[in-house]
Amino acid sequence: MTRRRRRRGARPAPAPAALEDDDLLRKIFLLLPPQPSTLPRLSVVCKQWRDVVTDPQFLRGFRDQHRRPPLLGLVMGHTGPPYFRSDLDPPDHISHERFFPRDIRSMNINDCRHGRVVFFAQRLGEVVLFDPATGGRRCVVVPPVFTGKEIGVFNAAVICVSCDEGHVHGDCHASPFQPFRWS
Amino acid sequence: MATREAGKKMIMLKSPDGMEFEVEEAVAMESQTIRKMIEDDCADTAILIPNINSKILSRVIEYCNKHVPTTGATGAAASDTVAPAALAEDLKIWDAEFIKVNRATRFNLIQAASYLNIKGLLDLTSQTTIDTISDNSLEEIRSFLSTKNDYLPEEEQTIRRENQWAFQ
Repeated sequence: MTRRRRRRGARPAPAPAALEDDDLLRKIFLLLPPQPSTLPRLSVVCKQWRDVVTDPQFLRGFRDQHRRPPLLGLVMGHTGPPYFRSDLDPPDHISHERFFPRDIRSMNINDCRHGRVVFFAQRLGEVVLFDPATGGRRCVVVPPVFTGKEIGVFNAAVICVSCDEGHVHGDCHASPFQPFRWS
Repeated sequence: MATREAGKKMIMLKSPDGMEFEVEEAVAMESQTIRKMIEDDCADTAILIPNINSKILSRVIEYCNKHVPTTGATGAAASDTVAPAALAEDLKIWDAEFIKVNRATRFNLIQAASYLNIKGLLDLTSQTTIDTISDNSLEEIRSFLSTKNDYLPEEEQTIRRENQWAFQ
């Protein structure tokens, strides 16, 4: 039996030759299932794999390949702190704590749609649009009309307004969005 | 249904080790790379396929021959009366036999499918690798695919911590 202590250049040629080609790796990885743990796990195998799976162009291709990503779980709560319940088994199970960072958890949830969650940060007087999958967040200052004392009850919503041909809601991370607020 | 036996345009594919393969143009055009060369008028009567030896090239041609549409899949049982579903099933069984090759050949076929841009063949030949990645632990993936872990232990720990949930 051969021992795996060979140096890089001395490996048996065929398998590594194929797998050391970034372009080929990209094509193979595109065929992997779109489960949440797939790419994080690949990134730990070796540095080359990490470079491939964190490349924005690859990620765009991966999303295009899997137009409808799996349902991660449910965001629950109404006008109070949010709660996330994962719908998947380990290693694809994402905990509430991982889904919502600590500072987000203290905000009041208003809406969740198309991969984004809307919060109202009362202390800052801002509406926060949070993308749990990427951790990205955008803040929108609430117009003065909503901060007046005479308005006691208000709500907010978010909607993906992607005009891309073939866009399937569920993969809206890079898409434009429109927040709404009403009293 | 009449075949186009007489009118079939043939093309010569040459491997770097000097072998020549005469194939129907339609079969060669299962490769998007060759199709583009032909459509762009870059193909003479013979096309040199670099980096793919004759053994692998002959297997690739075998695959294309089987998968080329409208030429009445070459299986002995195939005829004009075969229903599409039966033909698809026949192809599936044929593919399963085709891919029973050793590891080195499989990876060579992956490279050939990638270079020649034959999606069906790339999907078929990559499936074992996909299964290996999907169904095994990280250590097993590295071992089965001869991939060296070049992280320092602390580097690996840092990356694992970024998405700890994915390793539970």
